[in-house]
Amino acid sequence: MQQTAQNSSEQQGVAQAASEYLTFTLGSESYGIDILKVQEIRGYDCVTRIANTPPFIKGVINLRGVIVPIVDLRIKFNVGEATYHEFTVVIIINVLGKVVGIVVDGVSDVVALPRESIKPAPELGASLDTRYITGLGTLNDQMLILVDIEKLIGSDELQIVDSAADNSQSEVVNQ
Amino acid sequence: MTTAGGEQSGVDLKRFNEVFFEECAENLAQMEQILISLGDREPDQEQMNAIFRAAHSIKGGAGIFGFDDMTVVTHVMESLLDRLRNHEIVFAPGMIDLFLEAGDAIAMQLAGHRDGKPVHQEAIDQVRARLQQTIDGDTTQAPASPVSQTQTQAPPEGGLPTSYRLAFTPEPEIFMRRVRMESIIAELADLAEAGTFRCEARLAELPDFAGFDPECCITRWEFALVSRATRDQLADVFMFVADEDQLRIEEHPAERRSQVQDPPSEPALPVEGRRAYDRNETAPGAFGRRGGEAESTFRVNVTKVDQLVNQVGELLITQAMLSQVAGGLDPILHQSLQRGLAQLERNTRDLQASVMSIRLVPISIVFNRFPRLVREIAAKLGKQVELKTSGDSTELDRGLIEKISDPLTHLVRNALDHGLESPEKRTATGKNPVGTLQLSASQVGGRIVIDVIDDGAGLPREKILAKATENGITCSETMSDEEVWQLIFAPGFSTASEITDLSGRGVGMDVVLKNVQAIGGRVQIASEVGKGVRVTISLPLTLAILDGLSVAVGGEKFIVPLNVVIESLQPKAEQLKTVNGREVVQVRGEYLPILKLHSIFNLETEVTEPCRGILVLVEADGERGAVMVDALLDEQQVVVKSIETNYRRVEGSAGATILGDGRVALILDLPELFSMHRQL
Amino acid sequence: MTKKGFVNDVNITLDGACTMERVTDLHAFLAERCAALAETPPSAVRVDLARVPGIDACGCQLLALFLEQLRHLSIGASADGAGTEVRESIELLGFSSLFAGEHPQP
Repeated sequence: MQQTAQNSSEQQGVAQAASEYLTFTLGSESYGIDILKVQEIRGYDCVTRIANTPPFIKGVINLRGVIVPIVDLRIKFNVGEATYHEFTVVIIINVLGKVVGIVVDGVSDVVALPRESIKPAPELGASLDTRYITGLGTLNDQMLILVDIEKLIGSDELQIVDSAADNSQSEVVNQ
Repeated sequence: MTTAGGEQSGVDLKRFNEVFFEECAENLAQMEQILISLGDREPDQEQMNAIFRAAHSIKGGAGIFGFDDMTVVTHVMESLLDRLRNHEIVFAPGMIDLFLEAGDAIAMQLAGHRDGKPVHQEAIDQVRARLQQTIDGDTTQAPASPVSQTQTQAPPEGGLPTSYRLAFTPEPEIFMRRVRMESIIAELADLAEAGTFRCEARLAELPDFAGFDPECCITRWEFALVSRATRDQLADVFMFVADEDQLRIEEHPAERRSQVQDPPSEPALPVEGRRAYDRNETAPGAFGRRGGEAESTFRVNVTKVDQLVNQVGELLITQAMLSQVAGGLDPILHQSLQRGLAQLERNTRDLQASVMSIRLVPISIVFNRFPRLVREIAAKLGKQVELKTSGDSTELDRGLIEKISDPLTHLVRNALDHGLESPEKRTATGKNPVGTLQLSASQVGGRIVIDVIDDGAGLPREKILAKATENGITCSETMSDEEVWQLIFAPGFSTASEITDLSGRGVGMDVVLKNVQAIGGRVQIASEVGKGVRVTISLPLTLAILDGLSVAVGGEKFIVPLNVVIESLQPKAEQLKTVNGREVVQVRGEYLPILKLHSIFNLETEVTEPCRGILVLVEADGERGAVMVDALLDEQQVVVKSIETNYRRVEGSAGATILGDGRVALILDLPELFSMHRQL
Repeated sequence: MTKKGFVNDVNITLDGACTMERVTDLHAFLAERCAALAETPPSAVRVDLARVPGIDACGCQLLALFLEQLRHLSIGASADGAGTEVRESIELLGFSSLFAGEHPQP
């Protein structure tokens, strides 16, 4: 419900007071993602490796009976240090009908950003490609990079979502 | 104009429509099955009635739910059937095909409403016109106008006219469901002898008008009629709208016609509440179903069953976890705990077996499609074919049924198109001009085996080899027959000299193989020149649970499906050889390639030499190999989970499972591992 | 609200289909009449169905309830004037006697 409400307000261009973002850090940069896309936050443990995958795919975990892939954004974007200990945090994201865990350096806070305070993203030297950035916010004089997590998860770069070659096959056999 | 209420009920409406769609599909299937079973024979009275009932109930449901277009064809069909039944029209073999086409037309309309598929109106009009023609051409009576209210008399099996009184107290939502009471009442009136039908609506309560929800039904209907129909037939009129406790039927067989023409204004029935269903009455049968078998079944949404299966899966995992924890405890100190856990394990297994059995459906669901298909294809090809099926009641998982249907269809087409010869050719070679195609299913151990057998010419070895060479598929004259047959599974292979519209189209056995493999199945071919071909598909009983052997490789655990495991062994140095730079192990005179899991999966382990590890000998798709692992852990039933739900396909794995310790383990896909190994 | 057309409170003319799709509007319209009639009850009220092109069970129920409500206020209430098709529908649905006021309900 909440999400629908937000989407529709976007469409109508109504200046809603604020949207909430979960902020996290990757290296020295602060990022924010739409809180509505976040399912939960958990620790990093019991990851089963999957062979022949890029290094940033750490493997899969059992999240209450569902098998969830874990992506280490630190490795993917080459920031911070990819170490795993009891304080390593995994943000469980739910987008595009997929549940995916992302490993970040640390989760900071949930903040509300007034819509008008969000600026478009310039071409800048952030570790994250501009394609996945929806805008820049300011928080306590610090820049917050707002990530389009849906686009990122769905991107070919992360190779999480199959390019769905299987459909064509079943169509053929129907002949 | 849509009122707010109308929009709200949209979701519900869809759900209710779904019941009709399901019933309709069932009726169509039943109708088709009877028609096909007839061949060109005239249906006997019972079959005729069954077809009539199916058509009638589709029409009734369509009318009630406002799918008027669907009533058009059914109506004419019903008229024709009715005349046939009353011997007003003489049966002709061509009518079977006409009815089949009519069934197709209705199915198309159904698909149009249900899935938004395109509907070819011309085709429907054509079928309708031809049905009408058959009626008009053969009867001296005035043709029925196709869309008028049905003029069909009550089905004749009822016998003596009986006086009935019915009370129908609908649920309050019936209007919101967009149920057309007028259609229901009209249908009921049709069952009544002329002039005997009475209908009275009564308001069950008198709420304050201003505060009343106008979409809420507070009306109760009472009917009186004399009919030759049975109680069940009357109840069937309400099958989409009434639960047992909403409909009361009283019969007065002694009463003659004259007695029931009393005005029904006097209290026709004892006024009782909604739940006033009298247990002493003969139950009118389960609504929405017919006949004796129906009373013990009811519909359950598939998602509910799947949820149940998942939950049992979770329970199995929890149970495995508890066992694992308890395994570390002193068995003497915790004797009663151990006993309890053993009991829990038994109960869990029983529960799991029961739950899985809910998902099992007979393969006849798929087999029943084929009589018609075979008939049509044989006619097109000018071949004579007898289709035999056996093991129709063999049960397999619902999910598998859906997925095996296409590959089987393809095999059947292939057999008819390429396998069976023309009658002339068969006669020339001293065979019965009528070819035989046999479909059989059986359960062998933990697997379901389906055979597609034809008594045609058999696979042409030379032709296959030539074709393979032509298509650049590696092969040689010295290959064994088995190896040659395997060639037809190669992508892009097709032996048909010309592409026919039946099985040519560039789609070959490779797709069949892929689809069968995708559900954990295997395909084997046996062929003998002049005698025919046998294609054997073997499938796991269920997709959800499998028996596995858990193995360890470099700190990771994998599950090897038990059905591919032949044995395991610790090789001695003299058994190990190198052939063409590949390591093999010699077992009883056979050289098997060694698949080192750690190198296929890029894992680090201390066990890199076969002598220090364990070799698990496996066979899959006729290919044998030795999988090298660090250690064998346990034999266990595992719940198959999809990795693809949240991630892409993982090469070499046929899914994953969750182990007792809560970790994920991949289930190995041996055929894929073989091909990964070859590419190393 | 598309409901329109009434002559006066003792001769109510319904205009348009009396069906599930329009029942909410119809209810609002009749509730208004009902409230007005309750204040100064006439001896009889007639609902004219001549301009009703179609009726279904839901519409029948609403109308019947309206009439019963008026009868409850000791107003002689009936609905008539329907065209052939609508009359047949009413008959088929078993509402004839309720509309005519022949069989007062409990």
